[in-house]
Amino acid sequence: MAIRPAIVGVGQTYHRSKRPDVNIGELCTEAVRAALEDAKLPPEKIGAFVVGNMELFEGRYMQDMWQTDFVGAVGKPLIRVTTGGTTGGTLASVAFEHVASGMFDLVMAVGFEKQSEGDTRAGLKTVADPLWNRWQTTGAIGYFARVATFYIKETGAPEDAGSRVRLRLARHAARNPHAHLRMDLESVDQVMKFPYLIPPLRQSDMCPASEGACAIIVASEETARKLPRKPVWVDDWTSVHKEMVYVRGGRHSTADLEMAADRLFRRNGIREPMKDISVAEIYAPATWAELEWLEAYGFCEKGDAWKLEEKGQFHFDGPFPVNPSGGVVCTNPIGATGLIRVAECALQLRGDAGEHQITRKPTRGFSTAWGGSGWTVAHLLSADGL
Amino acid sequence: MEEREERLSQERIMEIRYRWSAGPYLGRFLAELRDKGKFYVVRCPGCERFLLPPRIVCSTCYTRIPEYPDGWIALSGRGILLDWQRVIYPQMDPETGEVRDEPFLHGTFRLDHDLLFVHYLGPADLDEGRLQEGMKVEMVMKPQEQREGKVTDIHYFRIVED
Ligand SMILES: [Zn+2]
Repeated sequence: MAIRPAIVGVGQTYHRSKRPDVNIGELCTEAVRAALEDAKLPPEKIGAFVVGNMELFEGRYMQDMWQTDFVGAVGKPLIRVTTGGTTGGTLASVAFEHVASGMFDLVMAVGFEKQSEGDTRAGLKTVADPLWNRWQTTGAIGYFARVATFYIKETGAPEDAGSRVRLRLARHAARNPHAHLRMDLESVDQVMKFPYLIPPLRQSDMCPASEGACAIIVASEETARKLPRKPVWVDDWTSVHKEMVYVRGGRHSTADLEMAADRLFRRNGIREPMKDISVAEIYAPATWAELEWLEAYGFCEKGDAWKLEEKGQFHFDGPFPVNPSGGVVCTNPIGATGLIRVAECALQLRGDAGEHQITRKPTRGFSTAWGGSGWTVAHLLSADGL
Repeated sequence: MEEREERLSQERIMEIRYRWSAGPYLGRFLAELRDKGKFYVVRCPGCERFLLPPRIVCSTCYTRIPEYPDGWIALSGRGILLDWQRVIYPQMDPETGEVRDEPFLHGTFRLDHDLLFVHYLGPADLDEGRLQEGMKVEMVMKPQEQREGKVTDIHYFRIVED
């Protein structure tokens, strides 16, 4: 890598299922202003922009054209990135690449979603081939019901394992002012009262549809050292695209998650991920996926995640904090979601996460984005002075 | 009285027409299904795996796949039930955008050559309590006059009693 990128500012809006008080452009300005304020930078310093959201959801062609004015990019280089669920993660990767290439010193990435303006379920269903299997798509809920079924079958996890994950995430979200669902959940029994969507998947196991935006500012090493904020270093990133799933059914594959983490860990000498990495912000749209994917990334052995969950290992003040922000299950403005993972990791590594700051010494952070039925984007960040 | 600020928004419903080309591979698959009730797969000459549905290139070895009938094999239409999902929450029908309230059963079937396929498990009055992994299933086609050249020309898969 020619130039080492650093995250020097992050900003988020608060999240709700509807933000009727603002339009899309206004929503984006909230995150952009927060990021500029955090970095203590005037808008004219930003050299290039990467913006993104989901295709189809809000029903506007060339969303980047609409966004240019509102992120402060008039007359400057700007690229729209729209890679489905991974959009936010790819936004970060592309911003890192802009800086690593040596072409830009300061780059801003902005992701947003305003799901109430269109129809998310209709948008998501168009992912399947209209001539082959679109008619049978049951969307994210069908997919994650399958994840839950197989997780229980293969690991012997009890039926309340997903609810335990939700309980942890609810506790985290309650401490995070930017989270969407900040519900007062106190016991597993209480979570188990949520109705089934497709058994064994409950409503409480799935992410909400959220509206909100996130922005990060990325700088070259030289520039980052001159800025007031403690830089968060970007050590490495990758993406994995699996073969298109023509045929649903049977055991779903986690090859993309495994390959992405394995590649990053190998390249960066990470041999004991739970030891070497102090915080994970992973893009898991369902509780059961969090368990399955922590195993797929190689943080623990297959079948161990639900046991570690029962022991409280993944709490923000535990030995290996997972999604101290409350994760995707509590907040999911899709086009921003992957970027929020990166932003939250950066806050943790700077020690600026406030009420949900991990108690373990922040060293390295791992953030991911996931989309469709088999794309993973992953980033490895580290604290300054490590 | 407290004055409330109006939060104006506007609604439109847009109907958009699409027409998708099936191409010679999937097109042939759908035509054979419609006209003869035959369910074809094709074998990759490069790595020898079976592709369902047939397509122009094998995505793992990038070998070009021959057009029908070279290497195309009609499956028996029989298989084994692997698992099933009862969809009980109101689903949007991806074909129409309408909400379908009635629950339905999707089954995963292991067909010849270990190929997996998902379709309805039927008929509608099927007793779910009797279902067991490993039961034999068979493809049931719609009557000829109702077929449209779609995968749903297959009505459902039914359990075959031993
Ligand atoms: Zn091949």
